[in-house]
Amino acid sequence: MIENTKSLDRTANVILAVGVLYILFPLVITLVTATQSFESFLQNGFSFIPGTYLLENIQIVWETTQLPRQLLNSIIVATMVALIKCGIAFTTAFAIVYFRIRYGGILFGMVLVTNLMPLDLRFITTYQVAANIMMPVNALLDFFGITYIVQTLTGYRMNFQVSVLNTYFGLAAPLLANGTGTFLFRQYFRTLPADLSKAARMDGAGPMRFLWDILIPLSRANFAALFVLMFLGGWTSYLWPLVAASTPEMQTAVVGLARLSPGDPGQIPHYPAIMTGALMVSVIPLAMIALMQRHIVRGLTLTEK
Amino acid sequence: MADTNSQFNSRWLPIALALPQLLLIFLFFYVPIYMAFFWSLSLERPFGGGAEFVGLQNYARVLNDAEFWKATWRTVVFMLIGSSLAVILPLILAVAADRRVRLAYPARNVLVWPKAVAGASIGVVFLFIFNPFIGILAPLNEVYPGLWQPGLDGTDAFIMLIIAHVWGGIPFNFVILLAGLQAVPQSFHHSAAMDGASAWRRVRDIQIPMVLPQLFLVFVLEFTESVTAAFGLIDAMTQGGPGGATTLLVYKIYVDGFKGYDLSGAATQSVILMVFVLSLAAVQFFILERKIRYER
Amino acid sequence: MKLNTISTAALALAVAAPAFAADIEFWYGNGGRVEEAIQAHCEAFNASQDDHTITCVGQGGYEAGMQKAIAAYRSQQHPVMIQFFDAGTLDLMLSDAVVPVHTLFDDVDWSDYNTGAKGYYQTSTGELFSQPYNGSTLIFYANMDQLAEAGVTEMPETWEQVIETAQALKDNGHACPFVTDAHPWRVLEQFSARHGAPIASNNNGYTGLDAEYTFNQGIIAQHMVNLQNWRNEGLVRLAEDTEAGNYTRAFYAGECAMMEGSTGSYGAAFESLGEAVRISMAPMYDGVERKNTYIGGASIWVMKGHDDASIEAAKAFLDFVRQDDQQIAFTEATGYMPVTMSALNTLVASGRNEELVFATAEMGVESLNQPGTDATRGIRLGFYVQFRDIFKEETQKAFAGEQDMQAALDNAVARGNELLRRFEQTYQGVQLP
Repeated sequence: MIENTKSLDRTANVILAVGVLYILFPLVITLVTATQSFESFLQNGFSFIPGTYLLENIQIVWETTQLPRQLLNSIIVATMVALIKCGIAFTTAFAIVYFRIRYGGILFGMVLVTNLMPLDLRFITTYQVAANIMMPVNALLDFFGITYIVQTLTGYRMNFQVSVLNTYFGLAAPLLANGTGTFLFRQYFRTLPADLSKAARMDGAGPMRFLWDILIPLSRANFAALFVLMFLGGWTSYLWPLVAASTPEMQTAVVGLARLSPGDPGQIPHYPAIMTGALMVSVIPLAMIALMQRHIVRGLTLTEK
Repeated sequence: MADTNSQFNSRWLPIALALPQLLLIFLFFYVPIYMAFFWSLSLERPFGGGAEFVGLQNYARVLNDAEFWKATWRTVVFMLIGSSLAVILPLILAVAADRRVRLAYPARNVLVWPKAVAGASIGVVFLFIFNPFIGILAPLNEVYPGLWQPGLDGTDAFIMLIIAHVWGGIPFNFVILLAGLQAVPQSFHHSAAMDGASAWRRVRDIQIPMVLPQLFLVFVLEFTESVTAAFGLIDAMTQGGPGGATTLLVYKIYVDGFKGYDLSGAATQSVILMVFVLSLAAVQFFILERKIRYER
Repeated sequence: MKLNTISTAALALAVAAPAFAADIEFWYGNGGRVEEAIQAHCEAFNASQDDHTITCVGQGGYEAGMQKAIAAYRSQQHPVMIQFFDAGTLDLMLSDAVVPVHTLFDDVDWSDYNTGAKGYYQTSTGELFSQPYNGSTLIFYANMDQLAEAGVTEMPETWEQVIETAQALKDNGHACPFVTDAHPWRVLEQFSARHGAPIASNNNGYTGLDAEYTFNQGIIAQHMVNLQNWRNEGLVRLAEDTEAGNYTRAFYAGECAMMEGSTGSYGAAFESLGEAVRISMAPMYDGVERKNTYIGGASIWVMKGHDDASIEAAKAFLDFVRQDDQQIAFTEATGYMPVTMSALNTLVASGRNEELVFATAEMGVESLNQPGTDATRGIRLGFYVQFRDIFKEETQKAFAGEQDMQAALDNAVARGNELLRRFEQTYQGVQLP
């Protein structure tokens, strides 16, 4: 096609350049400031010329703040969220698609509805549940009079208490209470030819065999996409870890960064160290996104479809 | 897959397979939502004991509270300005990136990066960049003292919040819109070009109309998202200040519930916000007639 | 309610029962130097006796600690003791989750606690509900080097003198003569106490839950209006106006010449500024008689629902931290003040009160021990933590020029009263102790 699209292409390049600058600007500022010494920062203020103090700043953050521990927490929580989600979402979708179950539709609906109400809207009471996850059990026992019967018979009042606040499980579990991956896998399974499982059944393979030998290998790309998305989601979540972890030692890195105050309290904030902290908190997910671009785009578009 | 021959028969296996996910959803989704409704109908004491059933009184109190409406208004303003920018900018970028130009490939990569950076983390960075004494606008303040004061001026703080929010909102909307644009068949372009439509015209007459469904989708997702997404930014940048200028509803709920021990009030406002978000979803459902999830 | 009877019965037993060994937990909120000092208390306690073992758990802040205590209490996994800060006093008193400390001991001379500490944490009949632990109060700080540059050699004592000094500093080209964060603890509570003007009716709520805020008039309102005018004149700066972005940092860094701050800030101020720092009791307006200031910091509360042995262990710990030498060690490590007179007297008798680390101890206690009235015992108002946010929010709007100061105070009063009414309803039928 021979056509003059030069003006449009030039405009497109300019627009993209502006967009890329907008994205990169804060990241570059973070990087540059993180390389400056506190002294030169105090003298010169904001600067675009990199310094040579990155290692020293990392050392300050590493030794004087809780961030290293919190980074470890983030890695644990994000990995837990991603791995568990991949597992349970896959098995749930498998159950819904490949089995004849009564109320399958209702079940799926109940899973799906969860995506309408993000955790940040229900954290107040989710916190109470996390403070005692046996609460529903107690309520049921109360409701059916079992508590009363046991108490009259034995004098013992049943009241189970298990708090998951300030634990890794407690930080991760509410982030898993949604239908995200289930939907993704369900949609994917439905695009697979029905003959696949029919053939498996004729060969006498049971459902678990079918799952291991055929479905999991086929779903690799979906696992990768879901894993990356859930990892990033777990890493960047804020409100829930903020309330669910009450000690700095259990806080995730993103929450820790917002409260970071390295250096001497008698001086103005140690911005180079704070920016170093911001860098440390973002480097793992950024590397992940730069390297696994394909999976992320795939994940985002898949969950949208 | 309705074909019964392709499905397995088992009574307990599917239940066992689905149980972990269902348990988590029951415990951390349905129970909390039920509790929120329950608390919104009672006056709950912080340490428990003596919760008094008060019917709709909490709703009456919240709906008569000027602060609630102010926070709601700020949420709506944030939603309209922040979301519009967070959709329109990615749209322009996606149209540009859809062309075979030099920057298209690197831009497609870089524009997704914010997805990796938590709102609160970039909030810390923007807070530094916009610091009135040492940040990028400091020279401006030296010429016109007091012109840029996000620590004191509510409007400045709000602007800061929106810039950071849009930054974080680009990846998702960009990816979706770009995917939509790329799905426009080449033949459309060709035939329009044959008809003599200029490249600029084609952007307006073909590309934009063709991505309308995606556009609508990202708008609604962005709207619902913006109701809660700003929390991390607010907590890291302004803590709702100055003078409450950045206290959006979600932040108010946090403060009321976790700092003010007003469990009933926080639960009531949560329920109202849930209803609001649900109605947004319903609008989307009926207009788009498609199943939705918003996963970002 | 059942739990109630059980725990009351347990309590009655606890008082009479012999000591059993117990492992108990104590939750506290502080971080940094104070946290280290609290942990030192706990270790010293464990080393001092064999009966009990205490584990002290940091919660990362007073508010986080309170929130976690609430969740823990609701699921009956709460510790025997928690430390909580001044502003939440009434919330805890009415919670029905704590045992008043005075009922646990019959051999403690509670009157030995200094006036400010006692008043804040005691019931209307004068009995301590919680045991004062880390106590601070408000004092005035000046950087004498900077004052001298402007030709001022005397420490200002009244607000009139503070402003005169600020004017001299400003005329001499100083950009930040006086700095404040306008936090209600400093500009409202401590101001009202030492000027003898309550912020709410019923003696700041001491005589009934139907109290109403009254600070939008009289000397408090006048002071707030003055602060705003002084800021417009460049005599007073807010924390947000400073490069440091924080009022104590701005003072330590030499950006600002004067401030009102907690006694606990002295250590850091001296570290940064050396001999240039001078302190005095917080300034008064001319012609107003000085009353006591309030105690800041926190106290230790004993929670309900624990067995006799745990209560015994808690009592042993409370006895332990009450000892003079323990209080003095804590003061030395943190800059908080001794809370009993006997600890202060021991300190003075040892002559160590002249040492730098104890510089604020005597002055702080002196400020707390000024003659008081029924209206200067403390703040006994519900949901007060939330009220502080409201006060900040409304006055911030005034400082930013969005409303005038009187309107801000009126709004804060109105919104505060709504909180008080809701608190009253939440605790309907509960007697104010």
